[in-house]
Amino acid sequence: MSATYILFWFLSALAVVSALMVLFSKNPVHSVLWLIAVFFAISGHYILMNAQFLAIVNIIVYAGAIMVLFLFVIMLMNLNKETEPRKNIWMKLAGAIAAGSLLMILVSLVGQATELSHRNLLMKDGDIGLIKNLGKILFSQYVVPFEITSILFLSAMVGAVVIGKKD
Amino acid sequence: MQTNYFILMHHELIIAITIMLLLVIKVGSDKLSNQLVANVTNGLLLASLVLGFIVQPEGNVFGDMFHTDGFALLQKNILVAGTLIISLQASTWLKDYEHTAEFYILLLSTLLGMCFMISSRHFLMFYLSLELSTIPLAALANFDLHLKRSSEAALKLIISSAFSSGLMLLGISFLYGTTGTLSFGEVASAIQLNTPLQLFAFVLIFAGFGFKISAVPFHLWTADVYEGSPVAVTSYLSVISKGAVLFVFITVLFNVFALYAHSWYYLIVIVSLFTMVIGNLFALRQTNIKRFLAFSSISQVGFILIGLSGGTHTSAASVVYFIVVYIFSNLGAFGVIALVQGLTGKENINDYKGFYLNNKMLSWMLGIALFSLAGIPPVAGFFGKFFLLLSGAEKGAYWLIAIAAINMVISLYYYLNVVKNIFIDKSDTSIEKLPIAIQPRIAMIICVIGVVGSGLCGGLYQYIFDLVK
Amino acid sequence: MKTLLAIIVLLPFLGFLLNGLFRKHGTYKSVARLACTTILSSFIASAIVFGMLSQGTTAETVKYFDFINTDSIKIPFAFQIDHLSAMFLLIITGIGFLIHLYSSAYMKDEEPQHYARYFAYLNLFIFSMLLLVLGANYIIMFIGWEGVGLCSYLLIGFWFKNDNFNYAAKKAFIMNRIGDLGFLLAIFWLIARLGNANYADVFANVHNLSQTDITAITLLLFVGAMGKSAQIPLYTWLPDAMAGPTPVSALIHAATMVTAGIYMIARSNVLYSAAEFTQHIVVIVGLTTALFSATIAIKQNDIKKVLAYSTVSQLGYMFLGLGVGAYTGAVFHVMTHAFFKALLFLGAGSVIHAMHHEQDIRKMGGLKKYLPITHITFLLGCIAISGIPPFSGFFSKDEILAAAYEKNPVYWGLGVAGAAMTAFYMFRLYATTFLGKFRGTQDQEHHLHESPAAMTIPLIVLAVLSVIGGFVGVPEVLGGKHLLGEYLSTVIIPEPHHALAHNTEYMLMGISVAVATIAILFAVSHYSKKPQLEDATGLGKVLENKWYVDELYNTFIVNPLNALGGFFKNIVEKSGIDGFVNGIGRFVNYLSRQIRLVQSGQVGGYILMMVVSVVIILFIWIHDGEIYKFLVTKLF
Repeated sequence: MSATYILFWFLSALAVVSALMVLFSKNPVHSVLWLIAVFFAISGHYILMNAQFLAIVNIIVYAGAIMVLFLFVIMLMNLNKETEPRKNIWMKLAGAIAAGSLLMILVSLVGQATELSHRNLLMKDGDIGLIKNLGKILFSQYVVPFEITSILFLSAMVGAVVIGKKD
Repeated sequence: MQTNYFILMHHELIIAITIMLLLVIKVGSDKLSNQLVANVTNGLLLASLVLGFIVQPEGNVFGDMFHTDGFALLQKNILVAGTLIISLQASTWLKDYEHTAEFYILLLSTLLGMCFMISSRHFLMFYLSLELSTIPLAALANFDLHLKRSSEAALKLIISSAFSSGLMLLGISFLYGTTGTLSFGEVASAIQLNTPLQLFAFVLIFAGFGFKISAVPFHLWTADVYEGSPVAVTSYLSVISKGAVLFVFITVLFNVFALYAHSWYYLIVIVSLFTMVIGNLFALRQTNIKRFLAFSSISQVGFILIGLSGGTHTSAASVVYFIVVYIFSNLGAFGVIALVQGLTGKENINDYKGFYLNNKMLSWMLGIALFSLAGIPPVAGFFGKFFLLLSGAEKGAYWLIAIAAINMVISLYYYLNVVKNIFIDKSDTSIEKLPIAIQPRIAMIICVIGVVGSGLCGGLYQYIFDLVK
Repeated sequence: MKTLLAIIVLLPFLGFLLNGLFRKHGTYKSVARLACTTILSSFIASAIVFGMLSQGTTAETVKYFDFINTDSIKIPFAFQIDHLSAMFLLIITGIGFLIHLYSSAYMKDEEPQHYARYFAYLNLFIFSMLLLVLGANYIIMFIGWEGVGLCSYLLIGFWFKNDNFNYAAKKAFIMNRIGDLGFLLAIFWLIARLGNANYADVFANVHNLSQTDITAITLLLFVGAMGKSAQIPLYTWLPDAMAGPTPVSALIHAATMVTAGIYMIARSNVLYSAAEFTQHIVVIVGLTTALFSATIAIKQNDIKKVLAYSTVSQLGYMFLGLGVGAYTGAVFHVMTHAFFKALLFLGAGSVIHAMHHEQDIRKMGGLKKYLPITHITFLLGCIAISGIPPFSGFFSKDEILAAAYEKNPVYWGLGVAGAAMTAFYMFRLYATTFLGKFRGTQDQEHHLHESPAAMTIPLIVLAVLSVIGGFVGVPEVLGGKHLLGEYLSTVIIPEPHHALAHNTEYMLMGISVAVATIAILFAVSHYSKKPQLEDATGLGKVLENKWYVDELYNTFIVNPLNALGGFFKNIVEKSGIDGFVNGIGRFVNYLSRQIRLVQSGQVGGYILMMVVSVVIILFIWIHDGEIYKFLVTKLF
């Protein structure tokens, strides 16, 4: 059992447990903190897949910037256990059952999937995830999606400004 | 085969330039007249529409990221025309609105997303443009800024659409995992029958599409969002956005998942059945006219799905033809409703009692549009539904056609109920004579001509059919 | 030719559109001018077409566009111009123009708006009639056929504020619809057997039809003709149609529309010549109608009713001609009848105009000196219709009667009896109206006046035509030449040459003329001095009440149908169908109420629903969609 293998299982377990904790924490601040843990675990996965740049960006942008923003908002709104809306117990149960069966189906399908067995992750060279190669491909093959993303952010910003300027 | 991407992407370029122009105008001057903004936008949209009919290039650029041909151009033209109509209709509402420029920036962003979506032959591109055509809409839904239900609509839209995008992304990633590619063509050739994960991916992608076109059982967001949004946004959501997703749905179903045609036929048949029946049952009891149109548009989607189930050139042509007709008729109805709501704030069906007394022209417009939606000859809606059912019947599912016919009868009841309110019922508090500004007037005339003309002009369907081939 | 025909047809339509759409903006002058000009131009164009054809231009079919275009049926929108349609073009536009001119003065009492409406209808009528005669297949003919029916309905009910007039209009429309059903069935039958309804193709393929088919088709066509041309048993609408303005009666219910049935059968002469049984039926119906309505006309006191029954009777003669194979004779009679019947109606209109809408002849009398022009022209019309040589009616009626004699002398005998009655009631009408003393009120007498020139000019023109119109068809025996017969010979199968000896023919003519003359003399001497003013008794009463045919229809057809309708409405529909339909409605409503509970307004619920659906879809799809297939294929 190689180190990569152990690391993979550890990171996966960490990600799943943290994600569950995001849902189960009563305190919203704790939820956010668990979410940061999820991002770290996923960044670990990225590194395992030789996507170093992606891993760093994921930590800086998501775990750093966005989650801090989340924390600010939650603290400003002073959300805590008491303000959490009471949910119908039946809804919770139904949700759990539905999600559980979806998970079950997913697991069984993946188990049946013959096309996935005996297939290894394609690593190619180790430098596929470097920023130089990423930039090249982003500005050649994927330039249109890249530009679309920029327009998407622009319009999201415009929308946010209008809604935020209410009153 | 054209390779110059300035020519190939002329729709997208004009729209993008318009967005930038609006941004510059907005930033440059605080006090700009709404009329100017609207006129600039309408003018550029019109230019794009005219150009779209004149310049008809064909070709691929950026690999599979962008592909265009006559059929795609037709679809884009339809969407641009529809947006233009909505923009004209919205001018009453936008006249004194302080965020007109932003409204247009967001609206055009979604239009841009739709144009890219139609031209995409790659799942990454498709997904991004789908998001571009949805997220700004959520902001637009909130544009009745002082109304709580408008914010509610926006929030519901963004949450449920994020969830459906999540499902779709999961599906796409499974597709990528099993085939190793995202390009439509390569996925289509790499797909195999009886692979559970690909089936799973297909169902998830189908769910994502089902959400966007509000097919039952993914439709529940529709009513709340439609009711809460400003009328212009509602009509945009129910017509243009739905139409664009349906266009892509045709490509994805017929090209990418062609191998599964035998399987998804049954899925679509069942979903279309539920969509028709449940949409109708909901629409029957609505009292709010916007909500009523929302539900009736769900049942219209059911009919479209019947046409789609055929899986041939005929069904693609019939769907596109129906969408053309549907755009004209639904926008005709929404135009009148927007006007009434904008000037009087009334949006209950009961408020339309005795509407004919003071507003002859508007009543006729609304009446014709509703007749077309109900599918009564000789207006175009009849032919649209006829072609849909015809192509659905090609697979021999006559019982499905029979159920569709029964549903048409049920829908007749509620459409005519509105017509009855307008023309026959009397009321002491009927709506006063409303002044109609020039832009909505033009829009309505276009709609009426479209509704009547596209029914009487038999060449239109043939034209679409030739393009599909 | 293509443009010329389009002009002929479209000009009246243009007039209709302009007058109809801008009826609130026109003046008397502009409206009348527009309407008359369009028809006059049409007439001139028709005359050119007529001239071209007689100069030897061959008949042709011009196609404008595909009217119905499917895989199995192709119906072109095409006109067929040949000698028959050219002749009808002339009659329609010519008489139509005269009557437009006449109407421009006659209808002056109306408000401008209604005046324009009247002319719009009239133009639409001309348009439809032209479509009817020009169509190159039965479908186009049917369009025109329905169009004239509609115009007739609109014009009979022109004074729509009077309920009786509306009933008359409805009656006309419904009676016509019964006939139209026959026509329509005939067209369907033709299309089912031959695949199209073009005249050329149909007539070329007659030999491909079985005898049963031909008989059925011709009978059904004849049912259509019976409705439109007011034959027994569908004639009762025509006398009631006199509720419309008098020029309308002249144009539609005497000169043109009612002859559409004759035109249709003359057009289909190839079919009819191949259907002997149908020909018998046509003769019987035609002859019965001719006699039956003539008897009714004898006792009518309304000036227009007399003329109406006389029209029915004359139409009967035309059908007699068609039935015995004298198609040319029938068409000839259509033409002469158009002249003198239009003249008589317009004359009657002139009288009514002068009498301030009094139509009862018992209150007239002695109008001779007040209305000189009307009197002279009316007299000429009466002589013409009575069949006195050398007036036009003599030649056409004689041709029909001669052909009838050839077929069966009994037909001829009955025909002559009808002719005698015709002469009698016409001169009874003439004598009661124009001779003797004036019997109206002082006030009416004071206001009696001759009509304006716009009304008298058409009268004079028509009178001249009534007098000389017959010379286009002088029989050989009188040393003449049958110009009309030659003209129509390309369209209508030439009749077998008259086998009658010249002497026989002289004798037949002599008898019919003598009988008519006696009837005239009797009528004039009897009615000019002491007209019958009191109500009739005995047989006269029966005749005055039109043989109680309307009452008969009411008792045996209308009332049982109403009762049946009542039964269906009150019993079957109320408890059966309504209960069923409403039950479905209630069920749907109930479902809708229940299903609304899903729509809770909670986003969480919506998303849950999506997940559940995906799970369900996946679940039943796991075995390659077997469960779906089961649901879709087995369940339904």
